[in-house]
Amino acid sequence: MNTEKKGTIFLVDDDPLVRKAVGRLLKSAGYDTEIFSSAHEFLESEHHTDEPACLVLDLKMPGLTGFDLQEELSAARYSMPIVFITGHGDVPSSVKAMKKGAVDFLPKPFEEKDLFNAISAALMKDTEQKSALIEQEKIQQNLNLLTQREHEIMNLVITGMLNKEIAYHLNISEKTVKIHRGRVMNKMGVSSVAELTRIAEKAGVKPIDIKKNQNNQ
Amino acid sequence: MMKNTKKDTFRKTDDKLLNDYRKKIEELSRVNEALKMEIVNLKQIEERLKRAEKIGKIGNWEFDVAANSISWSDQVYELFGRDPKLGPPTVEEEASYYTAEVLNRLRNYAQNVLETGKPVREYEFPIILNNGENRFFRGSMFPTTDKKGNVIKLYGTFQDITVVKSAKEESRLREESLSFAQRLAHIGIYERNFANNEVKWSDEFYNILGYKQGETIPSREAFLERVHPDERSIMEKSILKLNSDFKPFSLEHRIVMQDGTVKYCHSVGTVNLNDENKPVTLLGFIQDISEMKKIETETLNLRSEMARMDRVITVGNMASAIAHEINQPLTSIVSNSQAALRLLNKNTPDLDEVREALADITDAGKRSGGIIRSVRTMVKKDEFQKEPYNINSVIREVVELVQSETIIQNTSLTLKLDQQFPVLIGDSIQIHQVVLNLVKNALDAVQEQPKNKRHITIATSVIPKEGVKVTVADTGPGVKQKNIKNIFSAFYSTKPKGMGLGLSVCQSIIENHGGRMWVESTPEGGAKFSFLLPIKKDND
Repeated sequence: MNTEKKGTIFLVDDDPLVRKAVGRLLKSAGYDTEIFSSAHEFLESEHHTDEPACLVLDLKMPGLTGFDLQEELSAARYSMPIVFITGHGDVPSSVKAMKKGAVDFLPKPFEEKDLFNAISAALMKDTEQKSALIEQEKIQQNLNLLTQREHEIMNLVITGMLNKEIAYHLNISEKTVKIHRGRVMNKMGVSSVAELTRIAEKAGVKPIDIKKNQNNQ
Repeated sequence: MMKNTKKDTFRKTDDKLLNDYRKKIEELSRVNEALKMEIVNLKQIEERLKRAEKIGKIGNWEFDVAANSISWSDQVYELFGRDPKLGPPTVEEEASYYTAEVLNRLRNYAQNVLETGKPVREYEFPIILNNGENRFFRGSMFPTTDKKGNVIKLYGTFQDITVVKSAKEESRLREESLSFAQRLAHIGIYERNFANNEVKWSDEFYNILGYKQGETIPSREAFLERVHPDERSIMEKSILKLNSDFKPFSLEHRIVMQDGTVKYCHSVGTVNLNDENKPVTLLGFIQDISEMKKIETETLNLRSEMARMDRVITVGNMASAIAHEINQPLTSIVSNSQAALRLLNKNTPDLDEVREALADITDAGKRSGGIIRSVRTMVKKDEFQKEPYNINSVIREVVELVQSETIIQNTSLTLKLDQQFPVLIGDSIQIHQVVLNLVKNALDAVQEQPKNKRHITIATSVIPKEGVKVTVADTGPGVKQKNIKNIFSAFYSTKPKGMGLGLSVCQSIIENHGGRMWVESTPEGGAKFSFLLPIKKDND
């Protein structure tokens, strides 16, 4: 079990004593560990990995604080799950951290089991996040295969419109709608409208507001 | 014959008569001489009396009861400021010289003399002259009686005692106010006359020493008996010196009362010399300053208590900051020990790694101890070890401690230690904390510089008559002018993570050691923290 690869932990803390100790603990538990003395140093590093990873982040640091780093990371499409560690275990800070999506908020000094539990949760979240991202990417690739017309028709299908209504709306024949719809299902790799709707949602494709559309016309 | 006989008889009678007459004349002329003499005498007496009256400002008066008239001697006119040409005053006129109360009193005296026939030998009363001036008179009142014993006249004297009275009044007031002042200021006076060695104590002197007048005979011994045993010999020496060299002294000392109560006193002794530099009187003043001392001590206590409260409150406010500071090494200890256990549980434990973990635990433990000590310094009253130590050794210890950190952070550390070093007295652990804190601050400061510009210099030097100066200079960005004022305040920090405790603790440690701490900029723009510790003299 100890030798098993569990994931990569990025540890950021300005206190050398804490860095060394927590780093040593993580390594001894079999985690790949990368250690940084400041948020800045972390940002500048190559910290992208396909493996499950998470950030163990000190809250109060000179320069960029833990919160600053969290902010910075959440702006991107992918955001590494964060476990905060802090000597100031105050409630407002922990609420703020959790609201912004932190996995956990551990007051120093913490028990290893608390740290490992938090890290496990974070890694799990990262795994999910990463697979979701992969799926999203795949969907996006499929979406890119669609023609302009097919896109148009997909957007209407996922609003729950019937072929007849779509034909009327686009001023084309129902048969044409059917053909396009078949191609969309095929290209997107789905077999039901429900599935298509879920995938579209994951890809961030939003159903078109027909009324608004009509008004615009 | 008959005729002859007759003639002879006549002649005889005539001779006898003549003889008698002659005798009578002789007698008369003797009496006359005597009377003349008497008159001369009387005149002389009268003159003398007048002179005496004038000198003593005494006049006499008479009152005829039946005629209800007053007669005055010349001097009385003068005393009353009345023109003699006006003649004696009527009873009503005389009354105008007195207030109603005085008039009433004088009439009572007269009534008394008239009824009892006994004189009133001395009484005093004020009069108001026509020009409004106030005078004070002493009077006497005697009766003159007829054969039947009825009082027919009153006579007596008036004497002007205004000057005497006011002098007496003045001296009485002066004495009263002096004694009041003595009582008020708790000042007692000791007076010894060199001529007869007579010692006098003022009332307040008795009061302060807790002696009773009449019970204790004023003496140097009685005074010394009350002086606190610790200060008795210096007091005795001072008094002896005062007596022999007339050298004044001023001593603050304690006195112990009969019941053991201790009073704080300030005693001053001087000798009054005459023109020939011979001592006349020895004057000693003792002032009870217990009350002042008490207030002084209370003020001091209050101030130190306030300062302590200040620190307690600050510490209270900083509880979380301190917790943070402590939690860092605690995290290191907990994580390192758990890591060490994990490492040891492996099939092939990495013992080197375990060893390092244990060493780190030791470091972290030391750091926690340091933080706790600092906090304790802030909370505790100014208590610290007072032992001799060598400042250079303390600095070397600190340097050893930060060595690895300086290497990691590419910082060079130079020592410029004065080798001729006096031993300082104080708490070397606390001074160690101060130096460590300053060096750590310097290390933090130089991190903002490129790697080749990270230098720290620690220097010690002896400043004659002042003490030992320790400076920690860095090549960091320096202290901004606006921060200089607050840099030593508790909870003030320019570091994002600083709890603003370090420098304020450092300063209080240095101040507790009787020194001071300050910050300057180096010519290169870095920060230079210095503190000065006084060198204890043997007689301090």
